Amino acid sequence: MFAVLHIPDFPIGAILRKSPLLWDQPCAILAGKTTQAPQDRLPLLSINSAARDTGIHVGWPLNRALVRCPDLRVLPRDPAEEMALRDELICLGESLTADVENTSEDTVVLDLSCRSKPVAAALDRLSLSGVEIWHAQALTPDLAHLAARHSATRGRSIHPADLAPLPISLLGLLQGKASALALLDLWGLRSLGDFMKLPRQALIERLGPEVGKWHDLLHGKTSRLLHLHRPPESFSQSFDFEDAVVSLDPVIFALKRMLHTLAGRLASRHLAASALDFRLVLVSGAELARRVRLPEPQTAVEGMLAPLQSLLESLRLAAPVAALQLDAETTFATAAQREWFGRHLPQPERWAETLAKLEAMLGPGRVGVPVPPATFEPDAFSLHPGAGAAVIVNWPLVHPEGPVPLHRFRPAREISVAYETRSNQPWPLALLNGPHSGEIIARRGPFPASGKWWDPVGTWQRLEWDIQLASHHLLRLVFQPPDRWQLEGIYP
Amino acid sequence: MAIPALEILRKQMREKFPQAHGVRADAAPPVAQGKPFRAEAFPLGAISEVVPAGPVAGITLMIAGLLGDPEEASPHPEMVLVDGSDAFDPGSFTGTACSKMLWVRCRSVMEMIKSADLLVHDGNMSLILLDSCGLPRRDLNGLPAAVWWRLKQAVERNGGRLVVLATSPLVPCASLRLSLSAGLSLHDFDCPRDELLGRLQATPEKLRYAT
Repeated sequence: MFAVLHIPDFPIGAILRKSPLLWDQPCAILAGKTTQAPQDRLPLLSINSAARDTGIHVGWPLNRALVRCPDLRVLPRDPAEEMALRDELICLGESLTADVENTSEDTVVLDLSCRSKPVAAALDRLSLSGVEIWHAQALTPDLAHLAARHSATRGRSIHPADLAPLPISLLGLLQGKASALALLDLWGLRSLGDFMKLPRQALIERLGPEVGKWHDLLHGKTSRLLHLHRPPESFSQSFDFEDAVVSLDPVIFALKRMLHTLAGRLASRHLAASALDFRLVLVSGAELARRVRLPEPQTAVEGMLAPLQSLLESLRLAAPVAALQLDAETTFATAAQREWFGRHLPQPERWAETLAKLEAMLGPGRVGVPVPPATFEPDAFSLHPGAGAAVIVNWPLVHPEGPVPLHRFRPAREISVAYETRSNQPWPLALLNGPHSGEIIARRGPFPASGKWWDPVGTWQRLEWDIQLASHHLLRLVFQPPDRWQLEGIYP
Repeated sequence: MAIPALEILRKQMREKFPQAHGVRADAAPPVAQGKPFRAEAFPLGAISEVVPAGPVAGITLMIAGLLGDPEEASPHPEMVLVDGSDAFDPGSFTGTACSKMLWVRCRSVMEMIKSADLLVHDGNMSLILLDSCGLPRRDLNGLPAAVWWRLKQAVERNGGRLVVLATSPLVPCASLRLSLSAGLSLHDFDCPRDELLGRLQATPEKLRYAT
């Protein structure tokens, strides 16, 4: 048996429960952004009972609603209040059972299969300040969901036949094609009972398998697994030093202590750390945060401490350390046998330590697996951490710019170029200075490129040439309007 | 008298337990003729050096050949490029090829040597490319020879391959020095990369200081 708790008019209820003075006044929320000013043509997203009593309905445009109800107050949405109300609804569900699905922001499904006693009375007693709670019970979660959304069936334990009088528009709550629902309405079907009487096979042949699933669901033939709500676990720890620390040893000592606690908590949950986030709070108020990716999920203190220690040893801080914070990203510990034909690192623990040392020596963003850009913007690439195979990268499907890879100058070298104008475009003749000066004997181009034309700050435009000098060097030359010439690289 | 006995004992131990001494069965340097586009073309447990034979020798093409054009991305890096002058261009390669490589972006000769030392001692990567092209010649010549000898000993101990890409001969203790030539011109930019790779020629040079 499943039960559903539903809060009607959820967005407006979340706001009005903190403002009792508005309960008796007609209020509405518009569909759209929270900060957007009310516009006449925006539809109503949610209205309270006082507004509904005036005869307006959800979905009406605002100008039409104002004709019917001139006193209608339009309120902005409050995401923080909605989140708080949703959390309270989940807590309410968890007071009855541990298995709760957060189906939507205004609805939770409770799995009551573990309850031995009837819960109808307990459901009737559930309440939240300022909002109404509708509930219903059924043999499947979707039947209970449909029943809880309608006043005719709420508060009851229903069977499939009880849904027959409900309007067919309730099917819009289920996953499926909206076009199929419009077609059913065009056929003249007004209630769920009309739909349930139709032959299933004929429906599938005409409207597709999704409509067949609706049919099965309404007859109680199928039930789905719940996506259970589990609160996020935090492994965050912090340590405040009594006196500000100026040497490494006390920091390592505190870190080791925190790692012991972390290892114990991980072991109790059968998890392992895949990445460690540590943050040093300095006396000056500044903070230094680093993230260390572990090549393999770790549960041992030594395996986690070594890369952190390497990184800490290389840090030069501007002020003493006042506090230390540590957090971990978790994954499941590796318990499976390694792939026989796949390639693995011989010593993954040492690899993480080496990468940490390299990053400490070269600075952040200097070590990693390069990811080519999915844009024509010059030298736009990103780096993926070299350790931690658990992270999946969507490698962009890009084609190389040319058959010969470029040896890029970073930054590009500013030069002077002798040129003439052909067809309103510059035509380079010789490089006048720079590391490779001389006459240009051959060229490919120009290749025009531009981007971010919509951004007045980031917009760029350029002409590129591949040139060959009399010394046989091959180079890439770039012209940026109005008069900037650069050597971007060489083909060595 | 004790020294020859010790040497004999060392030799016997090395033969009996080659793994413990970082010696592999194929440790003898193969003669890399023609196309150095496979890691196996470079001797194991030794430093190799690749120098250009002309202004357009195709050194970056050789890196492209080593990376290949795989259909699927690699879950782990298979080689390391210690980029002395931060000149590698990811836009010249496919994403799946880049996934095979760890890129270490250095800004000076010292950073390059220190990074290479860390990676060689790590021993996880069997192929390390050390790209010194683009670094000031004066800084490179200022490196004491002992730096390269220490790297050589570390490579021998860990059994990896260290390939130094330089504009002119740099490593005094290189086991193999290849002279690379492609003779590219602008007309070749219309050819596919595979065809250009076919033109790339690597010729072993005579080593006066080879050990």
